[in-house]
Amino acid sequence: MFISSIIKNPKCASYEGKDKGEKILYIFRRSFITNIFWILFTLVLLVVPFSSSYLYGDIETGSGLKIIVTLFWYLFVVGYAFRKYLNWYFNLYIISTKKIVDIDFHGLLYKNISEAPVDNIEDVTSTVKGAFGMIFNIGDVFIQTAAEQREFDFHLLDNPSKVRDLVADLVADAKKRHGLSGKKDHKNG
Amino acid sequence: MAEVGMSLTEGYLIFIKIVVVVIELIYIFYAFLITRQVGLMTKSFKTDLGKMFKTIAGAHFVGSIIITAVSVFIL
Repeated sequence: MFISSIIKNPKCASYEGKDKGEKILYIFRRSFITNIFWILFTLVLLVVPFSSSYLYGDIETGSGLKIIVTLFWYLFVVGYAFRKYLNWYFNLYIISTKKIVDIDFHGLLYKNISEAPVDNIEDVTSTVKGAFGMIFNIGDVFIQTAAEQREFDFHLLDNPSKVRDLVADLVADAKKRHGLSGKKDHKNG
Repeated sequence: MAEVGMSLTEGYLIFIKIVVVVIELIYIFYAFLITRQVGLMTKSFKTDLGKMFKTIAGAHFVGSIIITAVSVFIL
């Protein structure tokens, strides 16, 4: 739950604007491996006070200033890691029985939520690129809706081909249920 | 000459202490923003872990206030 990037049929999850009778089928997040850089950076920050000669200069050991700066430093590192984790945890893509929802939080001051009915999805494309993507099988999934120029971009997902297939199958099922033509687009193998 | 050197070091230390307290005060605002953001996030996406995130954000905010208060008294 803490590090899952693909969650199927989450039991205790809901989102703002969820309709009555609507059920969340999948929750996708960026691959957890994409957090490796800030996790390593946090570990480096944690050991900085041990190389105290760089941080404190000539301030004597055990002085009030040194203790306060060390405590504040660790509070700052905890705050930094916590915010980075929250940023990963709450940037998600939700596929429900009715809608596709993209929840984005950037930094402290930006929130964006987009949604579209599953019936409106026209085209699903997956892309894996770069050495990092090839090694860890991480890539993007682009979902084109019927609305003009509306595209959902799911970035840095684990196993994007599988996600594309899941979304295309759900769309085909939803369209079949509602008597629409079940177009299932498979690009990039 | 030695007295001038001593007062310069003391002045430098006072300056550092003031800078530390100012940074801590700014950090309190940042910690408050995090608590607000966690509130928004847990409202947008409700999950089991929401309470835990709120508790951590609250503890972080309270911690920043305590450290700043202690700094003001000790330094």
